[in-house]
Amino acid sequence: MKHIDCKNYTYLDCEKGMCALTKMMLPIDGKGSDACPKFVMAPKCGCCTHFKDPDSHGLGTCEGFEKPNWAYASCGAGSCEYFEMRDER
Amino acid sequence: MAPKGIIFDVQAFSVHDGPGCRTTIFFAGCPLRCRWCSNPENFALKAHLMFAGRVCKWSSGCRACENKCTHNSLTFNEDGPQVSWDICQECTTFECTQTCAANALRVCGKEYSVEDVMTILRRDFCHWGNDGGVTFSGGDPMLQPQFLKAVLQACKKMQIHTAIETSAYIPQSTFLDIMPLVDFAFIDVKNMDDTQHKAGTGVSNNLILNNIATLKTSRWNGRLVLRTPIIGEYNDSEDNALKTIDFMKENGLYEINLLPFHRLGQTKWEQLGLSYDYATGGDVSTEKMQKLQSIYLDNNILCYLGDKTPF
Amino acid sequence: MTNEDKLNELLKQHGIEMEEDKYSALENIPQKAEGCEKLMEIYYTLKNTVDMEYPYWYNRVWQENDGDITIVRRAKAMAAALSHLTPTIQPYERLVMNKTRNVRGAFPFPWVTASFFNAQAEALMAEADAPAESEADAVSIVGDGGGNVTKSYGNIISIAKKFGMRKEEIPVLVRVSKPWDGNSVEELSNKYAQYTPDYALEQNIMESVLCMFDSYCIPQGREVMNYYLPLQYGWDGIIELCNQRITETMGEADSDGILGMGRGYYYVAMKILAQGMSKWCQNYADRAHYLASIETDPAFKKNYEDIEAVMSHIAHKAPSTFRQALQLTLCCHYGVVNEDPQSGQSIGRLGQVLQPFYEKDIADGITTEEEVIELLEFYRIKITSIECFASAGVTGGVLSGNTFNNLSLGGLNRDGLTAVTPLEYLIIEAGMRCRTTQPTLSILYDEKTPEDFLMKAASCTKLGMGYPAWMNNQDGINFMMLNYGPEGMNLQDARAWCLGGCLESSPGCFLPLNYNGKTYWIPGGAGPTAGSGVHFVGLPKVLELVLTNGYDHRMKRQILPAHNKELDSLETIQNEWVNYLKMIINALNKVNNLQMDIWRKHCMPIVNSLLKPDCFTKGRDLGMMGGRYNATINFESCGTITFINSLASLYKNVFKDKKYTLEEMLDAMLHNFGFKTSYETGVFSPDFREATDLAGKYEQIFADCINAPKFGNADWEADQFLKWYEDTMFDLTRSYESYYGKPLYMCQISVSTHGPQGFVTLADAAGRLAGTTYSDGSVSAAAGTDKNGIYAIFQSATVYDHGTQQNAQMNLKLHPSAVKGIQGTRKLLDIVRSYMRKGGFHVQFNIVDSNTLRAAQAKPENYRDLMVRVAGFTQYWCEIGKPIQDEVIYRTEYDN
Repeated sequence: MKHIDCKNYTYLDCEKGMCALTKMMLPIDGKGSDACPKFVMAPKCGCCTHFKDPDSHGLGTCEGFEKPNWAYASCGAGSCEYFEMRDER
Repeated sequence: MAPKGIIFDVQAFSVHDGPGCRTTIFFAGCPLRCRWCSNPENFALKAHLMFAGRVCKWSSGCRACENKCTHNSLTFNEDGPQVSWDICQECTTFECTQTCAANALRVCGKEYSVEDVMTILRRDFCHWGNDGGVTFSGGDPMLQPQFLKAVLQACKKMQIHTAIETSAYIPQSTFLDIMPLVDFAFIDVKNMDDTQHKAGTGVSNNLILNNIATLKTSRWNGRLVLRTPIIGEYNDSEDNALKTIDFMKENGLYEINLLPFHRLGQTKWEQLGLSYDYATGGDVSTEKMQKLQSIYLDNNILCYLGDKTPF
Repeated sequence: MTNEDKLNELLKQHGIEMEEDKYSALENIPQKAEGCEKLMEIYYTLKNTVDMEYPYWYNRVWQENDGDITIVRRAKAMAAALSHLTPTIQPYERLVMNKTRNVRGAFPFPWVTASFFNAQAEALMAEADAPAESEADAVSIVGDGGGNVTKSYGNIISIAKKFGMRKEEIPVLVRVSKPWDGNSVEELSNKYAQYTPDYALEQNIMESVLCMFDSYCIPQGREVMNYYLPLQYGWDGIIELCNQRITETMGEADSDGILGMGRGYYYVAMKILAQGMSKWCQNYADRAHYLASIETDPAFKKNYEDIEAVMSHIAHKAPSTFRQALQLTLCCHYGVVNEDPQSGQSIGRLGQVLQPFYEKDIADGITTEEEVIELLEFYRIKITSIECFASAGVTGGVLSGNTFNNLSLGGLNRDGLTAVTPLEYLIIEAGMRCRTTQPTLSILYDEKTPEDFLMKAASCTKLGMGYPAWMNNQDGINFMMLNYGPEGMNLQDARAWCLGGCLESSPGCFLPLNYNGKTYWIPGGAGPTAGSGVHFVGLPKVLELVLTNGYDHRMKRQILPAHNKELDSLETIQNEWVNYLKMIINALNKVNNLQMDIWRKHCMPIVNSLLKPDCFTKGRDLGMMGGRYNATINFESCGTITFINSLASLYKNVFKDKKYTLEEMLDAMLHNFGFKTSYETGVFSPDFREATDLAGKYEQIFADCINAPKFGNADWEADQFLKWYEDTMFDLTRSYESYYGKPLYMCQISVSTHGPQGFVTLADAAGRLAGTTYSDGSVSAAAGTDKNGIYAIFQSATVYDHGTQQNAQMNLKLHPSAVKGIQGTRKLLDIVRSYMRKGGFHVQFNIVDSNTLRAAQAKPENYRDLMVRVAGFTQYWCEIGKPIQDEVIYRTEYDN
């Protein structure tokens, strides 16, 4: 898991963000981008139960709304009325 | 015939030459030859050539002035145009300046009528604010007394605040004739020691000190601020300060403006083909300036350093 | 006792004042709030970033509502997009919300322009080539430093040479863009533009960069926000009002057979939008709640709790504190700038709008001046972070990276008395402590403005950030009456004007805010964009084409039809210039009208159609003239003084003194007077010259061109052409109609198009060399040509009445030593005041020395926070393109 997938990750720009717990800068890529033990999965389309059949680019189908439509995995879903965290266990 | 004068620059939004915002008119010609002078282009009372090698475009291929001089003065080598100053000092035609787009060869000084000056001042009047006005500087504007007086009279008619920067090295009758038209004066006192004064400026200080003393006993009610450029190893001694203080007290003067030596005029000496004695030396430390200021202050003289003035 | 104390003591004895400069000496200005310090440290490391959350949701909901009424469909799409954005809250922030989840975030608007992404789909997917460049892109050099992502690296793709996008979002960009292929405002308007009779000519004009960019690129902005409705009613109150209006209007034409029925749909759309705005606020409250729940540090926790309280309050109710009110205005601002690519969406007279809230909080003792200043500092950082996504030609060439969210201060209130409020002093104070590029500040100078306020503003100008700039309130009012009088504007509304964008005088009105048991008439914008007409036309390039009979020697193509006139007098040249300009405006105006018409039909403003009076009263969107004033569309010029100087030299050298024939002059221009061009040397500074073998041939003519009379010296021989030009343009621009059926008028700001448009222009008769920048502003002297000082420039600039056009732009540079100390502040105010009294519309100052600028050009990393004023706005030095940097250095150096 990466920092950017954590609920405590604060977006800053295309290369980095900030940890809400430590207030440290976190790179998105490369060295130091792996999540820490306090990782909490952030709500994103990619981890929603309604998100189906992603392709190699992370484009899949959202079935959460009345009309299904395509969606992409890295889209934030914390503000989505139908988001449901997929049970990873 | 209405007098005309030679002026070499008009500076708008001039903020360190008297109270408020001002237009400063620089008159050509100066009776002194101060070795540290920062406006040496004003020595001569006539239009003359200046050459600024620094902005010359010779090195990037410009040859615009080649073969333009009709007096056989300009010669050329790999560094660009070379000026024979003895010839150029006599020049009145300045052909070489007419093709110079870089403004490296240029004429300094232009003839103005009183009306020319007043047109500028009338234009600028609305920009000076409550305290400002016109300052006549130079050179020494008193070197063109008829022209200066005519301009001052025109200013007074329009109720313009007038200031002057002068050496006061002027025949007393002329000096006293002009000063009643002046509201604010800077008079330079460069050294209290006459021998030293002569060595530094080429003239005696007797006439200057005498003019100041006489002015103060006249009915003139303008504001007078003495000005001294402080030159290291020349007039930066405490002794000179104390003598100046004595002189000021004798004459009821209480304001002086000490200007720290600077070398900003150096390139102008070169542009005139003159050698500059202060390429090195003459510097005064900030501590020294403050020390001198404290001597004045301790003697109840209002002493301002540089542009830190209450006007 | 120090010398200073002694001197002061003595001065007192003599009755002379020498006040200490308490206000504008940097060491005396309090540090910005600690949190602001932290946020700025972070800001300086941030990259401009585009992401796809907003476009994804907009596109999804738009497509899902195919067939619905357009305004409702768009409101649904927009509400969905706003309410699904991931809220980002940084730990030090006190005011929250962003355009996107990234701090300097933006996103593409494929529904406005999609051709680029569709054409590049494969290339983008292959992550191979850098995006191809349109003609305007190719000549813009966006500054390398700062937050610009000029090259792709790692997992980041550079878009428009300015923004970084994560690779994993590229497929999303491609997929979102696809449905807009052929349907975007850009492509639809291109389709219909082809029916205009002069379409081929219009294409030539755009390709030659004779005109800089299309209207649809930035359809909104250059206008003033209006925060009244949400401040008065809150989102829930607005929803309730919408319900009432829907009941009243649905199915009723109310005697208006064309627009009457549209009202019902309008209120439905507004209701959906208000719900979306409310949800967007609530999402921030929820995120703050979560952050507070995991926070262990009590100070941070408290901050998150405060944010939650503010955001959950304004998600529903009208504000009841200053902080809530400020946060709500920010929310509206983000809402508006997210509905279109925009620049110049201006804040307006915020210190007058929020004064009632400030006044009550202070009276109730629930806040202090210091706390308010701090909030206003945080506000500056929020506004500074607003970025706009457009092509590089627009982002760099036109905007130089600044989005011009101008904040105006001063002016007059509805009763004709000074409008200055206590809060406005604090806005300036915050601008002095927290020195960021935005919001840039504008003083509406009026003789009734209190002196201490002007002194405070002058103290701020002195700090060298380039703000506040100074505008003439009476000129502004006069222009309002002249331009909007025919639409019924009265003097009261005219007083509500202020700056939209960097310098676009925009119409406004006063509305009655009921708060704390009182009624306050607060000002705000009351019209659509006061821009987005024909822009920017390079006047010197038009003159060049007159001399070359319409042939562009750079492109080696005939651009305009040959006029085949014998140019035997200056009048003939002037007449042909007017004819060419008419031809150009005629061709461009029709295409621009189409672009904007299609925009207003397919992508009408939604947030702005809620906020701008009298849309809500009329039940009509801003695109359909719901605004109170609609004669807002302008013609924008570039290179005025470069053009004027060329005329002056042609007049002197060719026609008056007859020293050269016109052929000789043209020959010299075509050969760049024998110098290498800036394309060859890469140096754009106006004084850089490198001779070629031909230099000898042209040296005399070059010197004569350089020495010809120049504007800015109080020399009528040159200035008469400005007078002629302004008089001519007054009638000329007003003979064309905008898509609102109203006359155009002239806007005279170059922003920074004088760089790219100068780039495509040959050497000119005034001695400006090929490719170098035009003069900036509209009444600033060309660099290095003003020999008689500031007062002479003022004289030249005011040879015509500035109140006849939207603006006139005067950029001046001052050396810091000229305005040192409190005397210096007075002197600065003296020159501002005197210029205003002469009728000058605008003046702004660069107060920085050239050594600093050179050092910053050499080592940008050490000067990350250095700001300069460029052509009407303030920008970080290292984010400005090199041609403009060179020009600023040259301008700054010249007088020293």
